[in-house]
Amino acid sequence: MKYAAAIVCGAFAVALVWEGIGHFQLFGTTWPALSSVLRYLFAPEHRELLGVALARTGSEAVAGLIAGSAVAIGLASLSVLLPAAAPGLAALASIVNGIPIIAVAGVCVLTLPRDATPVVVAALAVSFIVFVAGSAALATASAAHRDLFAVLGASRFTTFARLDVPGAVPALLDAVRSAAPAAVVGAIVGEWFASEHGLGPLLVAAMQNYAIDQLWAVALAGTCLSIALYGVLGAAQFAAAARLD
Amino acid sequence: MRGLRVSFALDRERSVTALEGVDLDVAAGSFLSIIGPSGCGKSTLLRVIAGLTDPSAGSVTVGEDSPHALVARHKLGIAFQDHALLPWLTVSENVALPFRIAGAAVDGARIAELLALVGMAEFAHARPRQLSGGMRQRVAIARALVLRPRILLLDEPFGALDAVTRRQLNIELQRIWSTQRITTVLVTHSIDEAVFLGDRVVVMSPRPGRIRRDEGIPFARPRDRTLLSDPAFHALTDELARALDEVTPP
Repeated sequence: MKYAAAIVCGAFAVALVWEGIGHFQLFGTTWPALSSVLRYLFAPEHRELLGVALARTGSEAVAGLIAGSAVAIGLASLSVLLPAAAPGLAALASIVNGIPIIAVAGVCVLTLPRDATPVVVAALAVSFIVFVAGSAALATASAAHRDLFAVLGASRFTTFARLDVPGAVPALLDAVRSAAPAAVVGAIVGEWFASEHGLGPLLVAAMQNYAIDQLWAVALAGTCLSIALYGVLGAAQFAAAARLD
Repeated sequence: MRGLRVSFALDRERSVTALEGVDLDVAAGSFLSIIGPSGCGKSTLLRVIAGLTDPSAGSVTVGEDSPHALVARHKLGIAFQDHALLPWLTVSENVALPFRIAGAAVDGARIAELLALVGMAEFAHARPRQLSGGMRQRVAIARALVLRPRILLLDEPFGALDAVTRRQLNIELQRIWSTQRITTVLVTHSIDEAVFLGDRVVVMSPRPGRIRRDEGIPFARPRDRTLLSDPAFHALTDELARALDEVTPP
């Protein structure tokens, strides 16, 4: 309850500062007041356009988050089951992470169907975060539990399936939650390069047309999408952690 | 076990010897208690029997089998100070875990029998977080017994419990053990516990860990709480306490 109150107070403070800066044009005319951005966001003539774009980007981000997380958790699992492969997989993940996402998006445009680009870029954007956090999550079993499984004659796969994975569920959900904002960024960058739908093209159009309120409204919608994804996964992680308490 | 030595490398040049020249026989169906000051290697000894630590020299056999062979046949039971119950499983599912790890069909009747034996039948569907420390250890002991192990290893199973619960569980463990008669090795800091439960008590000295005394316990079974106030029991525990004092470094 205290936590929720702190979040509400923090959000209110940010809104107040934003409104003040915009209202008094402290940073010039390109920083509009929050009320002006909200008016744009909820105006009947914009609502549908933004709603459709938000749904599109949201579905691409979620698809990318699921696909990227699945691949990353799969690779992290492989590191546990085949320890000899772990250093190679970690190096591969680092190299993939080292490629700038802009470059990845450019390559995707050339090599993939255009509609697939946002999902693939979102998946790549989350994969490293989930791989690193997922590898740590799968190694969280206590020494006593590991000793118990060893004494009971458990194979590596049985230990993985019956100890490592169930014990890692909260931390794995935490990893996916941490990666959720990256999925939204990845989807928007992917759209920017390869799509005519979603928040990405709206951002480009707003910048090219100097549509300040639209630019901020789209940015705010993207931020709300990130926070919503983060919140939903946070609730799932909380429920899973309570089960292991 | 014969000529057992266990050394751990500290770095490239230095090593520490945890156990040295340990010879020990445990008769089938008997209960051996091991006591000694901290750092005497008694837990290391248990880990060697469990196949968790390989000896640097010497050998351990349980019947005709090495510890690793016994582990591979799922015939070793163990309970630690940390109950090591899986928090996402119920009591009954935790006791069933050894069956699942062994790839065997879960014997519901055996689980029910053991939960009744340890007094946890009515908590079969509870989760570990809903149980007290003593109840969790009862479940851990049921889990250790469920596959009818050839040898049962107990590493301070009640070490984290309060004195009253610990005494109660020792009486319970004595009763449970008397119905199963599984060859058992208990490591403990408590002399009372070692004498009350054991057919023999071995006293170990530290740095490196060696066996300094091997004492037969003359009290008949079944034993109950009256033994704990018997003068002969106290005379023996006092004597072992003196032996322990002699081997404990200042």
